Amino acid sequence: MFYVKTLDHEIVLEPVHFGPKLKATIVRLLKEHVEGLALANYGYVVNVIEVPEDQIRSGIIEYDTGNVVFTVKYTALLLRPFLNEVLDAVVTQCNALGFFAFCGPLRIFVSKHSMPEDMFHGFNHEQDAWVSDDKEVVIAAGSGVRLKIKGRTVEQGNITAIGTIKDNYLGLVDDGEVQGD
Amino acid sequence: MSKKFFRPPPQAMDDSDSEEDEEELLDDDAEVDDEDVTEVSPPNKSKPTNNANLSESDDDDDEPDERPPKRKGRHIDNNGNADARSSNKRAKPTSFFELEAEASDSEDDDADDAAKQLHKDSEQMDEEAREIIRQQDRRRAQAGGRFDRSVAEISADIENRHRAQRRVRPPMDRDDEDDFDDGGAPPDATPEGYTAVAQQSLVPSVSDPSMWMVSCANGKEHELVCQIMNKCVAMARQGRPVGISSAIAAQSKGKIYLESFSEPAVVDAIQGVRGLLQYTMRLVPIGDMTTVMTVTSRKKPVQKNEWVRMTRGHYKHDLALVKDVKESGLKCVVQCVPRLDLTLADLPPAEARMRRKTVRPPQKFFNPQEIAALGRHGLTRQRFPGLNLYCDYFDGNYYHDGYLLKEMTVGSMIKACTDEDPPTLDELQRFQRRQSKQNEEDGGDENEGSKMAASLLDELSDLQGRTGLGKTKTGGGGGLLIGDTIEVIEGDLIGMRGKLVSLDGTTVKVKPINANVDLGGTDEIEFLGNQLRKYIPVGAHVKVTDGRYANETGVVVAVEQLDGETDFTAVVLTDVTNKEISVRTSQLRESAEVASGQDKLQGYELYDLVVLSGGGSANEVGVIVRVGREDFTVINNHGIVREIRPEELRGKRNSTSQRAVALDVQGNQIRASDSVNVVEGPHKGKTATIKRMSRAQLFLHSQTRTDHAGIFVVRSRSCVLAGTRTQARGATPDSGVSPFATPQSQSRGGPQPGRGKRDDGLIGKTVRIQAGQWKGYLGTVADATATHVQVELHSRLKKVMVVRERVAVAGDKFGATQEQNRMVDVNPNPIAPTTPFVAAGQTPMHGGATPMHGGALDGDTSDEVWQPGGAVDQDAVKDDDGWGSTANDGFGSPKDGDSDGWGSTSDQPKGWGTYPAVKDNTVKKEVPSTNGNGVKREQAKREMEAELDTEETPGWYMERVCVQNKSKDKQGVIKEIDPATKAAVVEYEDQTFETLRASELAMVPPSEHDTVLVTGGNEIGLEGSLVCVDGSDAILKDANDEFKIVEISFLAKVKTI
Repeated sequence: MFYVKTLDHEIVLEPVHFGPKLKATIVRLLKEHVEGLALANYGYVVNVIEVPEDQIRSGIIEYDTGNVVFTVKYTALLLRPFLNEVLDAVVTQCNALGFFAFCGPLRIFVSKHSMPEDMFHGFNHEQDAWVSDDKEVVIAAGSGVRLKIKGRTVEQGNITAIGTIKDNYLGLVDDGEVQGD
Repeated sequence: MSKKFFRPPPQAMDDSDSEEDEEELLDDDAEVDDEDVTEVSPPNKSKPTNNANLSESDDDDDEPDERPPKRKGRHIDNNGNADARSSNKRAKPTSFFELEAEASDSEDDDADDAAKQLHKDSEQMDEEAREIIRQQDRRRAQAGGRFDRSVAEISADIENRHRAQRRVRPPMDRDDEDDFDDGGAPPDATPEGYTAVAQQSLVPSVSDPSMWMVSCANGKEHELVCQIMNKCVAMARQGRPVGISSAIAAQSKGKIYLESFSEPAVVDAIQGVRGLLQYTMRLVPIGDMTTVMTVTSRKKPVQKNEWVRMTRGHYKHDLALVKDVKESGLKCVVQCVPRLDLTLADLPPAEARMRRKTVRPPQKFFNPQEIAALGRHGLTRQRFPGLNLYCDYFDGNYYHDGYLLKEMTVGSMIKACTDEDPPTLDELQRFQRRQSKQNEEDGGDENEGSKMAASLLDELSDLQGRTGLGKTKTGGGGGLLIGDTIEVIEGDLIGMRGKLVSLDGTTVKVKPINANVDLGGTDEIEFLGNQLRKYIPVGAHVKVTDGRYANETGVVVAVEQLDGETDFTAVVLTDVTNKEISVRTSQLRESAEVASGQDKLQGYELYDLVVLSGGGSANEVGVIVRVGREDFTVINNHGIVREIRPEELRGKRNSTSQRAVALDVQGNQIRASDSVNVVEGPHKGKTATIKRMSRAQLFLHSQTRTDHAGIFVVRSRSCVLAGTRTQARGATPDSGVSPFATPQSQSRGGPQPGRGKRDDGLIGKTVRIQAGQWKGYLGTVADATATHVQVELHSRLKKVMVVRERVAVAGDKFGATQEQNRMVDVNPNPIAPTTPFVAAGQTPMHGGATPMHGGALDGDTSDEVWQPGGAVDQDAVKDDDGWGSTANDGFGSPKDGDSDGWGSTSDQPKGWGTYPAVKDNTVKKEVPSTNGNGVKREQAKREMEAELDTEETPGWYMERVCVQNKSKDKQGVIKEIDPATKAAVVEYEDQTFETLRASELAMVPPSEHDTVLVTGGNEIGLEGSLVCVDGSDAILKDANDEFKIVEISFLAKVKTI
């Protein structure tokens, strides 16, 4: 789920940066640091929406280094997977154990055990795709699937999830041919 | 003990005498047995010495505690039936000996030892020895006598005593008496208790015979001992007894032990016994004697219907079932799923051998029809030797019901499945699947096989119940821990989930999670352990706590209940290896922990770059993709996956990999942990991170790959560095930033403080000085101002200030890089390159030490450019055309043909060496020019070149270098080079001068003893005299009389001033 939240971040600046463009530098560095990062409790920072410059408080000089620490408040667009959340994701890779799908930066693995029964043995090595027994459903790289998040793993700066398409209204929603690539 | 030696020497060494005695004794014993079983001292102790240890020891063990009351009894009823033996012994000389020995046995204290010493001293060694031998003889006779009793009686007897012994003493002590016994302790005992003190007294002392160790061939031990025994008997019969008291084949391989009081006796005994290495004879220290006889509890012997694992060959780690045990547990017949490679027979022998080594055929049941269908011969029905089974016999192996039946050596070929390593569900299913199928198939036929299969199936399920699967059922709740989430599986509250609050024996308290359960006021409910199961939700991150996959972590992707199982099985996708494993939920625990380093084995970890030994090639390296219990799976630099034991590894090369730099297909430098795209080969299109690299082989790691822990092997030239391509390669304005900077160097140069200057990008770059005194030198920019740069020369310990315009970026901070200018996609606008090097050739590592070649990509320009600072093609060297004077060949455009570095017409002598393709080119291009009109042509050429705003000059193009005018075949020396026009004033040998351009000149190849200047490579700038040329390397002596090895293509002959 995407949501907007105001967060804090600390930026350490060397004295070189002090000058008229100080605040711009802070904003730039903040974006560099934070965007794309997965915060354990909040999910992926997709975008820094706003950094109110008036809320950048004056910094504190570190005694040892001479660097200055600024605490910056910013509003960010976050993507956080919730358990049992239903998402649309794009399949990027299929292997014999299941397939990987990406929803933005979030990687979701769908195991063959989490596929409908008629796909359990349906991995096709030639196509690198999961095919249902009746050949109706073909999930290959590029397909869009609707899946349900069943679990998350939070690592340092990264979140991965596992999902299932074994439920009503889940599964292939786009065979990938329409969208071209 | 030595008291026995008081006995008067026997009348004769005749066995028959004593045998008679013993037989009488035995008869008496037998009677006694009937009357009073517990009182019996069974005579079975007298086996042949070499394997008598156990039973004899039993007897002796019994003695010490038992003796006093018994002794009393015996003395009282000396003539009575109950102690017939002692009375007998009394009556004859031999019996006296026995009694005395007994007495000595019962003595525990030191006083007795002292007494023994005294006695012993007064004895003659010979006599002692003879005593012992006699005693042995007697024992042997007793062994004969044993057969008077029924086998059942004897075995019952042994069992009784064994049980008694088990009750009382720890197994370790047993060996002590073994020693004692072999040293000649009298065989007399009753099955009663022992004390540690009594045991202590049995430890050999100086008064006992010494022990010698002799080496022999492995496996011959028993045979040799028997030989020695026979020899002893024979010698004794001849009246020349060998003075040894025993010969033993203990558990140690390749060694036998002899006991004797004298060393010559031992030498005598082993003299002439073939197979014994006499010179290896060595005295065993008294302290070690017990160790020799220590019976280490042998590895659990395999039994019929047990699961075992193979340890060798293709079947390594495969599960097998013991069908029969042979040779008292040394060998057994196992049944396993065959791994047949039917393609082998079609391959030529060499290939087949390779394949046999590298490819592990998959498990597949044997199907005779399939074999027949393939048209293979040699498929017959045969009886399996030793088993009453008719099997398919194919290719030297027996197959029964699709399974392979094979006789294996226990220990070396198979080992029993231990508790830590029980058959997994997977394996059992693989083993079992066939059977259910077979049942269905054969059910209709009602043939012999179906019955067999049915019974086998029963056996299997029975075994399955006994091994791993049953264990958890009895575990009382199956590994529940406080804090676990549980689910009620029995009773009224079935399906309820809760948290485990406390555990108390069989009952557990649970705090329900769902609030909608009416608990009647309490918030904890008690359950029996077996009413609950651990609840592991799909998606949970878990750690395996037990069993084969212990300590693996991963995410649960499914939880399912297998047929006929009460326990649930979770399918876990492991974190590190991305494999699916099936684990019982009772063995799981929810945990956020990620087993990252996973296992270590002998210092090696997952993803280590290791050097492999063996396998032919000396430099085989690989990356560990699985760490097993005792071996690794390694993917080597050819992408072949092998199982390797730690001993086969010869160290890690992780640090080398960390330092290594390779070039991708576009000449970018790539390093470990860079992300690359694979552009060709079987892995084309994949994006992965470089985990390790070895030379040009990259071990790429992809998170989304499941096999081999995500590692696959690709040549560096098949990859493209991912990301930042466009910035790196576009028509970069000459801002001083190297267009070839790697992403790291760029990112490093990113938002760094303290750089306000326009040209800060140049600092740290490797540049080549283009003109002036230092022309041709490579160096690193140490500082830069608006007009000048300070260059720290690579070859001289010197910093020079150079006008900014006179330096050209030749690489990043790691060394010189050059770009292939023919690559159209790289530089779409070659007419107006900003610096000569923007589109120049290749990217040699570290200052161009490594010759690389990019020109091969475009054949028709065939510019084997000789460029200092790296870029010398191997072929060029080989073809000897490296010396061609090739200034700005085709730098403008190929149509300007005249600027071709090979620029002479076909009828004119070339610099040296010819290159057919080039020649053709040249001829075509030079059509308009007329012979002998050299000057005109030169003029035209000069004009043309003047139009080009830059010109590349070869590295040797500098003052003092000996050159040859290509058109005139005249040799001279460059006196001066005009920095603006790049024209050189050449002084010919005849003191005439001419101004020529680089393209008109060819370098004079240096010959031995010439003074040469190094124009490229690591030694650039070095001057010395050429000593000799060895292939492509030249050895030169510098001013300090030191010898340097330089690539010959880097040398330019200079005129000594």
